[in-house]
Formats: sequence, structure tokens, C-alpha cells
Amino acid sequence: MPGKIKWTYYKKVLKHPLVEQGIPFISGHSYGGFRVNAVGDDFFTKFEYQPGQRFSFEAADGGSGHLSETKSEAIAGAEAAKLLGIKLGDTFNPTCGVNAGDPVHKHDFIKFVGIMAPTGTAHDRAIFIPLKSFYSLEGHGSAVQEMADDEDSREISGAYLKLKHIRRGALHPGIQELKYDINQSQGAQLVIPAEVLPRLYKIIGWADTMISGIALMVLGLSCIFLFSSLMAALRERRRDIALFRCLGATRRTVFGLMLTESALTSLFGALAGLIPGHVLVGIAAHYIKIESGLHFSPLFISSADIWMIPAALLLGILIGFLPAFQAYRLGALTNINKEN
Amino acid sequence: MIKKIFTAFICSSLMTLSVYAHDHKEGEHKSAHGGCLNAICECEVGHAEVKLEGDTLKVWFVGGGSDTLKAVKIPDKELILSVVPEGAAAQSLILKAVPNELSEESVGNCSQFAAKADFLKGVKKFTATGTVTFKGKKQPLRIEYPEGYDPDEDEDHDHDHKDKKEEKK
Repeated sequence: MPGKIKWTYYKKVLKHPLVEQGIPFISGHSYGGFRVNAVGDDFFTKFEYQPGQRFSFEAADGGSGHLSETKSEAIAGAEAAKLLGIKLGDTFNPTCGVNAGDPVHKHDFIKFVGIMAPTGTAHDRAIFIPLKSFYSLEGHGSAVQEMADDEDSREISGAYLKLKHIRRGALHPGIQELKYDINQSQGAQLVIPAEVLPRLYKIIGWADTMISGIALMVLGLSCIFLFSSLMAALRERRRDIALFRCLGATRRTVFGLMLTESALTSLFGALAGLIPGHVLVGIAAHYIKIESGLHFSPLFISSADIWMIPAALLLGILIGFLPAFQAYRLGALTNINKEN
Repeated sequence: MIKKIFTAFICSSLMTLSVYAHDHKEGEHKSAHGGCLNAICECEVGHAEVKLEGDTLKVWFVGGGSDTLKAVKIPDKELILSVVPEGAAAQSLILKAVPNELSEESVGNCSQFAAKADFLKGVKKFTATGTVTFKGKKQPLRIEYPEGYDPDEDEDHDHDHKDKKEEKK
């Protein structure tokens, strides 16, 4: 059976004053290891995979072809098309299930008429067929085939709901009551991603805190090492500094030199850390894209990256202050003859 | 000297991390509609979530313990409550079952009840008593609005039953 949610129930949900729009879908089929989802007609024209962003078939965006016009036409996500070598006009037989060995709809040939432009989301790793195609697939039997025309018996796997927002994009407070009402029913559940994701982050947040803690420890260690190396350098260079002073350098020049050394060391350390950090993101992004279809760019420069440069400079100046002050106080005559 | 600083740094970092790791709140009762929760029999058995909006009193029957977002269907078609507004005499109020279509409810298998009455207008605080067939048993029902009623209120029971909106006021 296609799903658990009765079409009649879905229609009742659509009538709720807080629901602006709904796009039904049916999952459970696959092709070449990629999900084949049956979606409502509005999916390609009204669904926003990111706020304000809709699917595109424009060549300029990296897409091709057009929307499905008949029941035996399919659209491929960019990643699925690339990995399966799908070209417009190719046909396929969907598998009834998502596991190896599941039966294939041998007599149902569906033609690819569109390839979506990359979205950087999981939609890139799916193939989409019209909702009614699903019911009419030959191997589904008469009970499912009747669902194409009989709304009372029709079932779906789920639906994307666009809910009403209030000012500043916040969800309408009545959504909680809608969620409560739907979640009391036997066959449906309302999940609000904006609520679920923070809960997920809260669960895995300890890992984030741990990594931040480790980063802070490494930062602290780096500060200690920089400070001790500056102190050691000062001890080793006492004679050079004294000589420098004898040649006419003022105390302020010596102070400035030490401070500059500390700030530059810290700055180059930060830059040297940023580069491998972004390389690591690039490597991880490759595997994340393979597994989930989500795209992370290693070239993305966050505000943290930008703030790190002046922060490193400031930290370097703070750490170098004491060694620079000691260099400032160094007596030229008493140190000129001292060996290291 | 550096060793001491380093040791102090490691210790303070580990302490900070352990504080983060143990910083979690104990489970709180949540009301789905922003009303106050009134325990039925005892807190673990179930709750009646109560909300007063103008002249309309709404009651939702929900589960006990942490199941306060899960409805409990009631076979009663109506509830008769004796309502005592603060500083006023007791009045009888009949709450009718209001089946919710999305919750697939019907009269006789319904978790939501409501009643309208002029005397409820402007009432800020009241107590109400009655009976309800809850989880197969006739149970006494006591409502304390807006604080919420909790017979188990003792040192081991420190969670909140208050109406969240009232609390904000």
C-alpha cells in the first residue's frame, strides 16, 4: 500500500485555516539505488526547497528538459542523473521497494523528460514521478490502481505543508494546536522541521561543545607555547638586542620589534590553521554529498573566519606584551658582553 | 611555573566541560494549548488542561506524567462542573464534548470539552469540581485556575502546572 495517510484526511488538513498549501507525496520506490518519489503537480512549481528558491530546469542553472506532462514521465535530481548517467529520453523501470531483490515493475517504462538544476539538497538524489503514475503502475494491483480515481480509498505517504507565518517569518502560534490535533490521530503526524532541528542539535550539541572545548584548550596551549618561545628567544637574543641598542635603536623600537614578532607569529599561525581547516571541510563535504546530497562549499568564508584574523593579531599583541616589556627594560651595557 | 599554569588550565577546561555535560533540565509538564494542567487523581494518571478565553472555558483531557501532549478520549458526552469564581458564589456549568475532526474524535470518544457562560467573563481565578470518566474509571475532577491543581505537591514534585500565559503576565 502507498502509505498510511488517507487522502480524505489530507483534504481535511488542507481546509485548516493555518494551512496555506499542501503537496502530497508517496515514497517507497527506487531506481539504481536512488529513491523514486511520486509527488503532487505543485511540487516543481510551488515548493520552496529553501526560502524563496524553487526547482529550475533552466540550462543556465544546470538543469535541462521540462516538467512531466503525462503519467509516464519522470524528472531526475541533478546528482541522481549524474551518477546514473541519465539523459533526457531515457526510460527506466522503477523497483517496488528500496532494498536489493525487491520486485521491479517490468512492464512500466517511465521516460525522463527533465533533469533538475542542482539544489545542494537531498532532492538532488531522487527521481520524481507524478502522483497518479504511482497508482497506475501495473504491478500494484487493482486496489491501488483504483486509488487513482477514487479519492475515498486513496492513500499517500505524506505531504509537505506550507503553514501560515506571522510577522518576521515566525510560525503562527496556533500551529501548536494544529500539531496537537493532528498528532492525536491514528494515521498522521505533523512534524515541524524548525522545532525538530533545534532538538536534534540539542541532543548532538554536547559533541559541538566538546569540539569547542578542545579548540579552546588548543588555543590556550598555543598561547602558552608562543609566550614561552618569545621568552626563550628574548633570553637567547639579549646580546643582539643590546648590540642593536648600542647601534642607536631606542627602547621603543626594541619593544615594537618584539610585539610585531609576536603578532605576526600569531597571525601566520591563524592563517596556517585556516587553510587545512577548509581543506578538511572540502574532504568531508565530498563524503557528505555522496551520503546525503547536501552540498558544503570549502570556499565558504564564515564571519568566524573573518573575525579570526584580527582576533589572532590582538591575541599575539597581548601575549607579546610581557616579553616586549622585558626587552624594553633590557640594559644595553650589562648585556652586550653576555653569552647566550 | 609554566607547568603549574598548564595544569591549572587543563583542570579548569575539564571542569567547564563537565559542567556543560551535566547542565540539563529535568522533564517539565508541557501544555499543548497554553492552559493550566490539573492532575486527575494523581499526576501520573492524567491531567485536565484548562484555558479560559473570555466567556468560554475549554478543557482538554491529556495523559499523566510526561504524556501531557497526548489526548485521552473521554466517553462522557458532557461534564457538569461546579465553578466557584474568586469572591463569588458557586455556579453550575455544563461542558459539551467538542470533537476535533483532525484528531478523529466523536461525541463519546472525545478529549475536548467547552462551555460558554456570561459569569465567566472577566474571571481571573476560580476553582471547579466535578467528575469525569477517565481511563475507564469515574474520577473526581478538581480544577484550580490559573495555578493548576496538583495533589502530589510535595518536595519530590517540583514541576510547573501553571498557565504559561498567566505566568508571563
